[in-house]
Amino acid sequence: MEMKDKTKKTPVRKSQEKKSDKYYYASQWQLMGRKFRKHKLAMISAFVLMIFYLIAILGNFIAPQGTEQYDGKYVNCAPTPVHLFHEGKFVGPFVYGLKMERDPVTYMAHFAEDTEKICRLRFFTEGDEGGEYKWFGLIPSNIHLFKAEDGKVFLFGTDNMGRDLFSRVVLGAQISLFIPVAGMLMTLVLGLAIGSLAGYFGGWVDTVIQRIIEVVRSFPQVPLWMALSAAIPKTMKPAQVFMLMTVILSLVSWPGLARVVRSKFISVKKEDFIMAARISGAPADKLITRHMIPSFLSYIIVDMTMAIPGLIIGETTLSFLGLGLRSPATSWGVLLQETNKLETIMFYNWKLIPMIFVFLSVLAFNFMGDGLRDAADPYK
Amino acid sequence: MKHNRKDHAQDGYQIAPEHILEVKDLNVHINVDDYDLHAVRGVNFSLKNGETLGLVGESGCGKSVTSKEVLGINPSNCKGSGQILYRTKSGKVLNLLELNQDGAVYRAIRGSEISMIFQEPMTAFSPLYTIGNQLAEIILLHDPKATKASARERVLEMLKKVGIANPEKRIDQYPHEFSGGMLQRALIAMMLCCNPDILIADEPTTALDVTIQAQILELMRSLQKEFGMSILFITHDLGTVANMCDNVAVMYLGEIVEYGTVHQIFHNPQHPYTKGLLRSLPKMNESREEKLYIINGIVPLPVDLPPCCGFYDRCEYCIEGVCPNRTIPEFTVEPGHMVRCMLMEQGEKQHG
Amino acid sequence: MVKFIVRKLLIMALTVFLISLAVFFIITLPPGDFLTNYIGRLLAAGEQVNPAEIEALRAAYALDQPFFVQFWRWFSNIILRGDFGYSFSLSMPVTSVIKAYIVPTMALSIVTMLFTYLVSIPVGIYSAVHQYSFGDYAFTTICFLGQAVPNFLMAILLMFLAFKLTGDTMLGLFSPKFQNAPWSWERVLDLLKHCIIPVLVIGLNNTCGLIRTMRSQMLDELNKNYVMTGRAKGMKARAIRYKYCVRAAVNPIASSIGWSLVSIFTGTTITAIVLNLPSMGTVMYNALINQDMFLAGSWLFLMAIATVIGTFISDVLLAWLDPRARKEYLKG
Repeated sequence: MEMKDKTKKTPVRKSQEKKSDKYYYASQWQLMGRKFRKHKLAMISAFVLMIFYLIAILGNFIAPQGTEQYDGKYVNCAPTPVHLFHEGKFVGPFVYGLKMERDPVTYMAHFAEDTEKICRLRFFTEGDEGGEYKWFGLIPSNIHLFKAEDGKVFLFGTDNMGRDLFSRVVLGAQISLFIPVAGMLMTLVLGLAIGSLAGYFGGWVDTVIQRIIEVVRSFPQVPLWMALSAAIPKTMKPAQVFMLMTVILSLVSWPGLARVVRSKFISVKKEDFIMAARISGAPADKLITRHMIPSFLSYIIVDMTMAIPGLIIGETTLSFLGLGLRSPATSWGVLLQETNKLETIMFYNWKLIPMIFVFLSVLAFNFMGDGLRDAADPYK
Repeated sequence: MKHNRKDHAQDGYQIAPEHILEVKDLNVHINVDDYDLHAVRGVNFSLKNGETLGLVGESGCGKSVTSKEVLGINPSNCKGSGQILYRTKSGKVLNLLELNQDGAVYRAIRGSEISMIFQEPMTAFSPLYTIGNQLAEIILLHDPKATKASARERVLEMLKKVGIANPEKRIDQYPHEFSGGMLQRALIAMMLCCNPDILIADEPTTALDVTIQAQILELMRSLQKEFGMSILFITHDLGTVANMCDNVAVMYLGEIVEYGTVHQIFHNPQHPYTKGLLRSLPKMNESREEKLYIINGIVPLPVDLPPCCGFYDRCEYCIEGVCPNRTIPEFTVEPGHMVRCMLMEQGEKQHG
Repeated sequence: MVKFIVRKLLIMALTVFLISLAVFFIITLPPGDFLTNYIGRLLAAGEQVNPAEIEALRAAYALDQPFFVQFWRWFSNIILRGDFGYSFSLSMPVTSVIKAYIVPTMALSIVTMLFTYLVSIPVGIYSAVHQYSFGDYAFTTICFLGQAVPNFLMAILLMFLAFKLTGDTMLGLFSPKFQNAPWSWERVLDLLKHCIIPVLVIGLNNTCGLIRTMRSQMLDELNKNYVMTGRAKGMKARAIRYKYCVRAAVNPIASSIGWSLVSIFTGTTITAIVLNLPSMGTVMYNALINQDMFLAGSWLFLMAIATVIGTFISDVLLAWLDPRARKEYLKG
C-alpha cells in the first residue's frame, strides 16, 4: 500500500510500476484470460467453433432442405456454383438451371449447368413444401436463409437419394457437434463425482472405486463403444439413439477423468489452505465444492476440452460404421457412410465435403485446448 | 545468444595479484516474454585467494543471476556484458564473458576450477543414477588419467570427508534414499572432487532444517581451510554471513548498494537497505513482545528502469526530487567500505 | 520384486473376473436371446430347423437359466476348457476363428508399434531440443493434422491415393495373385507393400500423440535443476541431454509400451474394417452386426485381457526403469 502512495508523488516511475503491479495483483482468471488471448491459433479456433455452433443452432433455418426431404430427380448431382455475372453482366447471386447429360462412352448420368436458364437466389424466403421446422422446437416456421427461384441450388451437391448435402452437413452439425459436448458434460459430472468421492474419503471407498476404474479402463475404448452401440435396437427413434450415444460415450470415458480428479484431490488435501478450512470447521461438502474443486478446475476444463475431439471422432466413426445413428437421422459420420466405396470417391468426390468439417472442428478443439492448457498455468 | 563468443579468450587482461576473480561493470539482461529484465546493473567486485565474500539481498535482487553468470550457466535468454576476469590454475587471466559457454575451455573451468552448489540439493541430482555414478562423473570429466576404479576411490574419500557415514553403502544408493542434508553434503563432495579454486554457494542452506544448516556451514568452513579455496557465498540471511564471510556485498535490484568487511557492515551500516536488513534480524536479548522490523513493499521488477536509486520507493529517508531522478554514485565511508546512497552526499555537505 | 509381482497378479485375476462379468452383461444386452435371433435368421433363409437340436443348444448354453448361471457356464468354459463358445454366423467354434485371425492381427500390431516408437521418440527429442525452430513447428503442425483426421478417413484417403498412383487399392494383406500362393520372396514383398497403408493409418494417431508427449516430457526434463548441476560440473550440453534428460523423458513412454501395444491392437479394428484386412477387427464388426454374441464377446474379452496384461507389463517395466517407482512398488 505504501508503495502505491509513493508512486503518486513520483510520476517518473509510474508506467513501470503499473506494469509490474498488474502482474502481481491480477487474479488467476484474469491472467488466464490474458494468456489465452495471446495464443492466436486458439483465439481463431474459438472463433471458428463459435460460428460452427451458431450454424448448428440455426441449422433448420440455414439449411434449404429438411432432414426428411429429398429430390429423386437430382441424384448424385455435383455442387452447383453460385455466380454473380451472366455473360459479363452483373445479375446478383444466381445459379444456372440443371440438365442431365450422359457420358458418351460410359453412359453415366451427370448434371451440367444449363446456361440458358438463370435462377436468382432469394434470401429469407418461404421454403419448399416439407421444409417446415420449429424455431427451438416451439415456433413453427418455413423461412429459410436462401433458395433458388424456380431452380435448385446444391452448394455441396447431392447424395444418391437426391438429398442436398449442404443441408445435411448443417443439420448433421447439430448431432456431430452436440453429442460430444453432451457426452463431455456427462463425463464431467460422473468423473468429478466419482473421482472426488475416492479422493476425499480414501480408505475402502477409494479401493472399490479404484478397482471399478481399473476394470472399465481395461476395456479398449473403440471396441467397447462398438459393442455398446451395436446393442442399441435398430427400431429406436433418433432422439433416443442420440441420448444413448451420449450415455455410451461418457460411460466409456469417465474413468480417465475420475483418475485425474482423484489424484488432484489427494494432492490438494495436503495443501495448507485446505487444512486451514478444515480446522475452521468447514463441512465436507463445502470443503469439496468451494475449496478443493475450484483449486484444480482449470486443469479439468482443459482436460475436458482436449477430450472433445476424441468424442467427435468417436461419434463420427461409430456412425460411419453403421453402429450409431442411421439415415434419415443425419450426422457427419452418417454422411460419410457413402464414401466407404472407392467408386464414390472417384466419381462423386464432393461427398467427402463433410470430412472437412470433422477435420476443422477436431483441429479447432485441439488448438483451443492447447491455448487453454497454456493459459491454465498463467504463472509459468 | 552467446554463440558469437570465441572458445579462446583474448590475452592481455590484468588483475591484481592477490585477486583470483574480478567482476567489472557486469550487466545481465533477461528476456522474458515481452519484458526486458535488467537483472544485474553494473556490478563490480573482486575475490581474493582464500576469501569468503557474502552476496546478500532479498529474492529478486540479482544475486543468483550474478553468480551463475560467473559460471556461465545462465539460460540462453540471459545476456551478460562487462568483464568477468578470472585467473586460471595455470596462471592465465581470462575474461569469462568472452568464452563460448558450451566450449571446451569454459567446460574445463567449470567443476574443476570454479564449482557451484545449489539451493535445493533434492533436485540438483538426477533421480535415475546412483550418487556414486554422478560424483564419479565429474572426476572422469576433468581428470583424463582417472579410471572408473580410481574415481570411485576418490568419491569414497570425498564422501567420508563431508561426513557421510557408511560411504561404501551410500555410494551405490539413489538420491531419493538420501535426506536433504545428506544430499547437500554429497553435492559439496561432488563439487570439491576436483579441488576448485572458487566455490560458489547459492543459498546452500535455505532448503534445510536449522540444525542441519549449522552443520553444513561448519563443514564448508572446515573444507575451505583444508582446500584453501575462495567462496562466493550467496544468501538472504545476514546471520550466516556474520559466521561465514570476510567481506559482504549487499545487493538491491541488481546493484551492489553497500560493500565492506563484515565488521564494517554489521557495526557501521550506511545504506538504509542494509540497516533495514540488520534491523529485521531476530535478536536473542530483546523482549519477545517487540515486533520484528520489516521493510515495507517488495522488490520491483527491473523493467524500463529510469536512472534512480532502486530503493527509493521503500526508503524511509528518500529525498524527494533527488533519489528517484538520478543515478546514485558510490561514496567511500572509509577504506574498503563503499555505499551507494545520496544520504552520504548530504552528510559530506554538512561536515564540509 | 517377487512380492510386488505376485500382488499385481492377484489383482489382475480379480480384474479379469470382473471384466468377464461386464463383457457377458454387454453381449446379453440386446433384446431376445441370440438363439431366437439365430432361428429367426435360419427360418428367414428358408432353412429347416430341427427342434431337438435347438433344445440341445439351449441346454448347452443354459439359456433358460438366470443370468448368473449363464455367465458361469460361459466363464468356466473359457477358463477351464479354453472353449469360447460357438459362432452362429460362421458356423464354427469361436476358438478356430480366433486361431485363424490372431496371427495377422498380432503381426500388423507389432509392426505398427515398431514404426510408432522408432518415429516418435527421435522426433519428440528433436522438437524439444530445438523448441520453436522451423522443424519443431513443422512437426507440431503435422501432429495436429494427424490427430485431427479420424482413422477411417485416413484409410479411405490413402486407399484413394494408392489407387490414383499405382492403380491398386492395396486392399487386404495380399494381392489376389498371391492370396493362396506358397510363401516366396515376392509374396513377402507383396505383404509388406500391403502393410504400408495399414501401418501408416493405425500408427499415425499414436505416433502423433507420442511425439507430443515425448516433446513435453523432454521440455520438462530440460528445465530441471539437475541440468544446471550438470553444466556446473562442466558437462557438455549434449551429454547432459542424452545421459540425463532423454533417459528420464523416455521412461514413462517406454513403460507405456504394453499399454500402447493394446491401443494399437484395437486401433486396427476400424482400419481393418475399411481396408478389408483379415484381422480380428473385421470379424468382430461382422459379429456385432449379426449379433453373433459369443464371437463378439470373446473378442471383447480377449481385448480386455490384453489390456490388463499390457498394463501389467508397463508397471513392471516402469519399476525396472525408474529407481523411485521401484522403491514405491517394493514398499507395496
